[in-house]
Amino acid sequence: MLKIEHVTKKFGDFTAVNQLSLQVNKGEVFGIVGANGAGKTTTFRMILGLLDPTDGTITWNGEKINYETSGIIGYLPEERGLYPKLTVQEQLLYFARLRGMKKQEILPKIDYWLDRFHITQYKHKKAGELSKGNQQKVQFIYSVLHEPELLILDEPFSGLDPINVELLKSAVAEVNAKGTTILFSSHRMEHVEEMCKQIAMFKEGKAIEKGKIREIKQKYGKKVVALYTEENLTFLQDRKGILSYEKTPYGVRIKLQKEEDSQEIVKEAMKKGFIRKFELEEPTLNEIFIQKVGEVRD
Amino acid sequence: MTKFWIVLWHTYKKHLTSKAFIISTIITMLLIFVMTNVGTFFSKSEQEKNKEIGIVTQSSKIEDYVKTEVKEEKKKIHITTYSTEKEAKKQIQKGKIQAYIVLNQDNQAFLTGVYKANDMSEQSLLFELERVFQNVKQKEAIHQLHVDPKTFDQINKPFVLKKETLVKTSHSDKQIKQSLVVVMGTLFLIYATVVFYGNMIATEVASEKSSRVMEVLVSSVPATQQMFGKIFGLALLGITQYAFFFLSGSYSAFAHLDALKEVPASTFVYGVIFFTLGYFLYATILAMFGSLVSRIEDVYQIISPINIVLIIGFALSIAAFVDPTSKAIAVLSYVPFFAPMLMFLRVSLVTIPFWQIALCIGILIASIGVFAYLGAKVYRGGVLIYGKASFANIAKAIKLLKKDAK
Repeated sequence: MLKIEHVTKKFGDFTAVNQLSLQVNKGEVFGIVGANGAGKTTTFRMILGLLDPTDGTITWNGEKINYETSGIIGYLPEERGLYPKLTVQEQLLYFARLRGMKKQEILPKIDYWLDRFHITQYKHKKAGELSKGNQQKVQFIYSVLHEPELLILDEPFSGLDPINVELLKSAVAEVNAKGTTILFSSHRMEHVEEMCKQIAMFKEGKAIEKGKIREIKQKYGKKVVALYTEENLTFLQDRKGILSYEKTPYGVRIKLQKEEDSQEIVKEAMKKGFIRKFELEEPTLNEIFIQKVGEVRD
Repeated sequence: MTKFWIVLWHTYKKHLTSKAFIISTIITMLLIFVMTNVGTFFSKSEQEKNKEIGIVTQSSKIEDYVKTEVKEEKKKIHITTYSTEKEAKKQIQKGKIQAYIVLNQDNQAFLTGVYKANDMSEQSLLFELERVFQNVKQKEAIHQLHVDPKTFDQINKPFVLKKETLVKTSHSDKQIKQSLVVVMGTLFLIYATVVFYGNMIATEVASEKSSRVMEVLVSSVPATQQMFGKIFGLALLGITQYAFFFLSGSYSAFAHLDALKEVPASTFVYGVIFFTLGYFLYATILAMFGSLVSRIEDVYQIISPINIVLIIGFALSIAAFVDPTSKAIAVLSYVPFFAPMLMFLRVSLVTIPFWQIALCIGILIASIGVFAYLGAKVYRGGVLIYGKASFANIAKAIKLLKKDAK
């Protein structure tokens, strides 16, 4: 179990992480979302022991993570790369050996993962000759090759095409199924929503929202009304209690201040014309994020 | 500790198998081989043939003197005598001889000559001939003036200035002469190694940052082990490269081994000690600086102050050759950046008390320790900083690691 207790990190006058407490249970996939500069990477670096917290403690199964335990940790940093002049196998060997593995144990695992990502043919190719997507696959492999107990993925999907995103998602799920606890950050709420049960939302170094996605959504209530209609409902745009009005292929999607207003709005819309269907939706994580963090960033 | 060895071996192997390393090593080896053997090649080819030189003289006595002189001094010259210049000229046109000398006997100078040839470029031949005819002239003068050859020899003997040092342990003149060669060679080796390998360390660190593999590395290997793994790995690479260089120069080196037999063994020992300390001092600092930049293009900018310090040290040591006993040099030889060069020079050329050497080595080891400590700190933080290269990053890097920056 990963336990972060009252952790604060200051860089001079700047507080990067402020009184953060989190708990990630064994075998869980935990998502951290937040705008740039919200303190995600700093938190990861503190978990790994690369930075010391100004205050508070971080433990994995009751012990501090340091270089003695680095063999049980996997890390895919946001700033990641490969040695351009080494072959894929050479660098995977090097990284895995630095995590404490023996050459004989590593080789079959390299073969497995290269096959898993359909890049076996690049095994003896220099990394610099690989496409960016394939390089990212190799980078992911070096974070999981030693079968870590705790895997930290900092923006694992950034820059990947949709096909590779799916491939990587299924690989993350596979690693998780084998018992690895996963902590990952992303700007893309749909990835987080799809992959984790628990999340923490960071803003200016604080976890402004944390817990099960279900519960967070319930807390925000069903404040979205989707109306399936061909009618022109633009008059609703200026109505009191409406936060946003959005045209969709099937009709309109209206965000409300209060869930209770939904019934009134449906009635008003029905007066205007034929409504085929209406729905009360939960907000997406993206909507909650934008509302809480206050600005759109990707 | 095992991770240190993994990094060391990785660094060593990566560079050893790189094309740039292999090509530069082979080219340098060839260069060394040619340079060290160039004399042997030329003298061998010259041995094959005697130079054909003509002399124009009517005197059989002079002809005799010349031929004896050439024979006695084992000159690679074959002399043919002609009685007229016209005849000699004809032989030149035919290509039988390459030059001729018209000799004239005269009362004032005893013997004069005019060298005539189509090509005046062969300086070494002219030099040889001048020596031959100098002796011939002397013989002729002795003969004409009726001087006893023995008396002449006595007059002609050069003045001998014997040198004896008063301090018992001091270096003899011969020792110093031979040591100079070793000292100069070692100083140059220190300079070249730091410039080449030191810069390679800085580039190595920066390239791991620019290729963004650094953060993965620091999360699995402690910064100190990583930094020293690299420094030792490249040291091993240097030893390998120098071994190859030595191999290519060894043919010539062993032929001239006795030229260095007067050099005291201590000079070589100190050479190794100061070379090693110098390498590690500069390597540690350069690794630290390398960790402050995130692009390879910025490496040279950030390490240029260190290169300037190194050049100053090298310039000082050249100045120190003129007067190794100078007070200023003595003082400067305790400054860590200059110590490897200056103290080694003083140890080899001047007699200095052992405590001074020990103190200097102590200072060097201590400063390596300080820079290693500081370097590891800056390195640990520096590798997490991306962006513009600047010395302000040193403070930033240390700040990054402080538990409480306030």
